[in-house]
Amino acid sequence: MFFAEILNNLSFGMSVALTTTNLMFLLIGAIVGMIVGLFPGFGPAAGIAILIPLTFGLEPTTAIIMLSGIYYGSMYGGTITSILINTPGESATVASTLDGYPMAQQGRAGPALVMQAIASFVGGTLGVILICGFAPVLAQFASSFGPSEYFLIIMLGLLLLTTMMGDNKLNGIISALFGFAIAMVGVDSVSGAQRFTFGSPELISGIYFVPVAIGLFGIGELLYCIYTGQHKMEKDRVQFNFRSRDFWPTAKDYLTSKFTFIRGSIIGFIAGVLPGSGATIGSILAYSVEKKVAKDPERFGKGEMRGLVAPETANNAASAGAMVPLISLGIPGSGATAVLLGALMMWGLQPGPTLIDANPDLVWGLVASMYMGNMILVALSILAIPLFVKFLDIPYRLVVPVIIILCVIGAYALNNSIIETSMLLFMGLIGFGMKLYGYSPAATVLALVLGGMAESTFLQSLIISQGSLQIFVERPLSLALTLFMVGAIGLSLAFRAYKRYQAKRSN
Amino acid sequence: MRFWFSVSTLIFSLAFTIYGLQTLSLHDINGRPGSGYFPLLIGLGLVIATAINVYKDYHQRLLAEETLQDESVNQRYVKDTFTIAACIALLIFGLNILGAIISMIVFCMAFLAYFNRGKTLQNLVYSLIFPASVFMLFDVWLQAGLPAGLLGTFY
Repeated sequence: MFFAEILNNLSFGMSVALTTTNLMFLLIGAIVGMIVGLFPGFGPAAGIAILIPLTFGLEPTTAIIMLSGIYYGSMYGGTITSILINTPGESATVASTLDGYPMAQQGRAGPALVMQAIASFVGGTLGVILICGFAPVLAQFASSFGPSEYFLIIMLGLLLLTTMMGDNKLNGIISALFGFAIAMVGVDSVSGAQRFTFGSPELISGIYFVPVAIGLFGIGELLYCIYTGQHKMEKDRVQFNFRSRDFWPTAKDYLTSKFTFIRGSIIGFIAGVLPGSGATIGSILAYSVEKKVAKDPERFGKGEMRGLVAPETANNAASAGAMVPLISLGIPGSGATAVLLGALMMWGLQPGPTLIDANPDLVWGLVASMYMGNMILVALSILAIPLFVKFLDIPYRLVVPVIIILCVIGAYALNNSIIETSMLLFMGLIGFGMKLYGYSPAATVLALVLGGMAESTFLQSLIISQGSLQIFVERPLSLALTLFMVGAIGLSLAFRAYKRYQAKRSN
Repeated sequence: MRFWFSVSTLIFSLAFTIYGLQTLSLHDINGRPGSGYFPLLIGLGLVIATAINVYKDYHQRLLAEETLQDESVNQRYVKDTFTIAACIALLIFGLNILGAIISMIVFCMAFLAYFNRGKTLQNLVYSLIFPASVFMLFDVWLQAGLPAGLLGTFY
């Protein structure tokens, strides 16, 4: 039954996605995503945000397929820099540098690059299969949710995202509240009253999500890269021969990693499904578990193939896992999926558990495109590695104008509004400050996208309960979610107190 | 700078809350939560969180302790960052006056003259070819209707 559902969903998705146009845009998205992933700091969220304007003229299904290609492509691309220049393209590929770069230094850059592509493919493919199985089940379960459960799930997602921020939890909370504040601008959907518009007609429809996302992720990240001197750094990449026999992994590489593929995929997928956790946590967790279960943990960090395979399978499986709450609940669990949801809303789609039932072609087309994207990307990663590696030789100062012009012209092309385009610069400066001082642009974007839904579900809950907050603990699921939230906060505070106590003791 | 950034977040939070309180109603005529109810909760949350942050940063400032994150940024290119922000502003505000293509060319030239000094030919070719490609992509293919500006009389 479970496997039949997986096959049904996947085959329906294939029937939607397998058109020449969709495949062409998937290929374009995958290539562009890989190139974006090569630039340090620019992960999937930034890649999708910057390139959303390029999808304006497309059909919604084609557009979202292209964006998913960018999403996956940037995950693949980010690892190439981790292996060759010891600089992760984004945080999810940090763990890949631990063994990837030492492998390259030992003259095994070829096997490392090929194996990361295969590991990403395995992780992504298993992730897609699991989406097809779990997303409909979760969506069916979610159809019994009331507004109070929805509100609590949104809050839980944001809470987990902020508690993952290490010592900067307060900054994470401020970032999320800032996102909610931006979401309040415009007309109140219940009363029709104007809020924070200052009498400006441009603000009546609210602050548009795209300039905010491009500003925070694109311009903000770019300014931060310049501030930290990325444009002055010489990229000293490891040189290697693409045509040599040593380019390919050995049979031993595959044999030693056979269980790592499965472990990494499962850990990554679970981490991806949990809101706020995502690919970064998944990849680090998979690496730690792999090191723990290994009989020879001392080999890790010195160019061990399992140390590369584990985070690579995990980060791609997590990317797939992050789609589960998005598809089944309409609630994104990460910055990148928040941007994807924003794009979905741009085409008039409403987030929520009805997303699958109301738009099955789009949802399953998207999932199937992720599977096909994986196949395209593994082929591209292996066959076109020489081409992508060439991009690493382009000086950063020549890449900057490309990013800026795409951001500015893209934001302008949205509504031909100079105010929205100016908002891009303003948000870029805020994004720069946030990045510099440890705030979370991802939490801001997530809260901005979910702000309207959070408010309506919260107010609906209060209206149902006639103003009583008891509604958030009345039903078993609400109670469980509330307890989980309280537990997460309590655990976080206890962990902090324990760390302080340990620090005091060591002093 | 961290302290002043925190102060600006507190000022924003206060402004958001006070403006919300002054312009929005907390309850509607039926006594149910009104348009200002949720914004007020957000505003209060923001004020509390940012005030704690300001206090913490002020305390740290007094102790003259730099945070780990600031230390990790060992190379600061403040002037370059400002230059880029100025170039972006030039591009944005030039869009309607100069037109998309001219403002993109001016932006690329200004940017490359500063960051890619001494490579005049490369900069010139780049500044002409790349904006033209972007213009073709957005204006011709995506039909985004980019502003013509000074070139408006020619097409």
